[in-house]
Amino acid sequence: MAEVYNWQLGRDMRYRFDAVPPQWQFAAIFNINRCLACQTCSLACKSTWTFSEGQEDMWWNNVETKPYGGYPQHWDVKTLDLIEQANPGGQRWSGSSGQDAPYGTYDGATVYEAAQAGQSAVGYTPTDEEWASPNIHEDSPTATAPLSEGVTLPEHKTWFFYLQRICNHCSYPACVAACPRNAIYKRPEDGIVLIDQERCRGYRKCVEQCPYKKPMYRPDTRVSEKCIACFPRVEGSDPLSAGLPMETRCMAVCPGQIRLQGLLPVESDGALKAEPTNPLYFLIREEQMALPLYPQFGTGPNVYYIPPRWVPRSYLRQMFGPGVDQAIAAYERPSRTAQAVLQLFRASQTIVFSFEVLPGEKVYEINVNGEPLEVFNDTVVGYDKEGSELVRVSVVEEQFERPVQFLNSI
Amino acid sequence: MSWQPVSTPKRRTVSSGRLKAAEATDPYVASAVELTTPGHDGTAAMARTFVEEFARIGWSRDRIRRMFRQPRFSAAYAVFQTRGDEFVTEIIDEVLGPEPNTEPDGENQSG
Repeated sequence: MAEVYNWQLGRDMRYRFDAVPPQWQFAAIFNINRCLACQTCSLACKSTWTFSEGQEDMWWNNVETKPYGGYPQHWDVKTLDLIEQANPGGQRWSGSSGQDAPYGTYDGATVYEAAQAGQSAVGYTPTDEEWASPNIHEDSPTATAPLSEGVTLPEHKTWFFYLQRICNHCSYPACVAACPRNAIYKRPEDGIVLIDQERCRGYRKCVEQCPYKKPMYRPDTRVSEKCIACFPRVEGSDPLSAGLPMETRCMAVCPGQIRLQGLLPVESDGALKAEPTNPLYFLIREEQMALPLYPQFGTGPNVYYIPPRWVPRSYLRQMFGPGVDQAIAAYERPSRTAQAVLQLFRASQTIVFSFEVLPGEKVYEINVNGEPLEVFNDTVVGYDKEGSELVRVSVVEEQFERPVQFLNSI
Repeated sequence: MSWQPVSTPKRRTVSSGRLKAAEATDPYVASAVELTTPGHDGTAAMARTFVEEFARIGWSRDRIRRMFRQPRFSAAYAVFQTRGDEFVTEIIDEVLGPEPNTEPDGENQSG
């Protein structure tokens, strides 16, 4: 076991391999507040990569309704429970946030530190039944009806939210650590985690030990598969973007415009290199508006979420760590620059590497929860990897409300 | 053969799976542990979110209030239906403040 630095935990932690940070890291931000669970992302992924025989239950991208839904069912609570069993009552955060530890310090056990003998990371193998219903309990804020015995199930009064999930292409992937064949690797050029289909022998240790349950076993080929981050697109080999890195299919199709994906430069110690004009870095580190999913697992996930602000904070703190209050405050009353950067979501499918905000006129001022919020019609310009202008979007958008006589006309 | 009136077929009752009564033996029935979140009013939190979102894109206070009364904005309308106009007004005042500021007119759109 090596000691590696995990900036999301604010401390060193044990990992099977020495840290070898990639030059760039694949990363994405999902704005949960805007997701409508249309599953266009899920279908775009499936129709591109997992439409074949043997892949029927395989959804590299899924959108599940929390708190009841899950693919596989109960994936997160089961892993949280295993960690709790290994370290009862110890899963706590302490300290204050700083540059090296933006969420404070995690004092509890990670999946690596809670591992049992013979495991690199604590985990379990989901049953076939748990994989079989990818969209179970969609839109279920409540348990609907009393059982015949007269037992009433608990109700969640009208709160639920959609959690969009793909492989996190973690900085310290549990699947990589778990594989007895060393068949899984993290690419040095973009941090994308891939399973070598030739080396894999289907032992399913990755399925067992990835806490996010994103590697999946394919019974007809008898090897495991996982999200490949649409690497041909990210490499720029799709003719559409003329050699420039392009966002994945699940990002590009999002009708709710909740997704932004890019590549983040990485320091030699694994921390994100300070690039305040990279839109992802800006929202993750400068504004601290987007947070990793279950950072306490310790894998260093690289998909970040703008948390839903109608959900009880205690639930969100468990899911996204102690940065939740700051993230919601930053999103509720976004800074002038953040208002502009949020407009870059789905403005281009060629990856935006940097942005510039051109000031516009103040259009209005409103009060949000007792504090003024000024809205300026600024223009945000997104630049590609070569520094050429890709896209130009204004803060104030044209609005169109479908006339009442044409409602539900499709 | 002379014309014979045809009786209207009986309407069949089609029951949606979602609306059937839950059964304890159904492995997919929602069975979950209650998350205790004392003091959290989910409806108010959702309503607050609607107000913030639409205010940020320039809708006026009155237009937002009208939105809550329109069935086609189903989630906002559900808040209005379950909690009433006074509750909606309170939420709007809570988020945007009781007195109008320099607000957008928001009236150049339909609705």
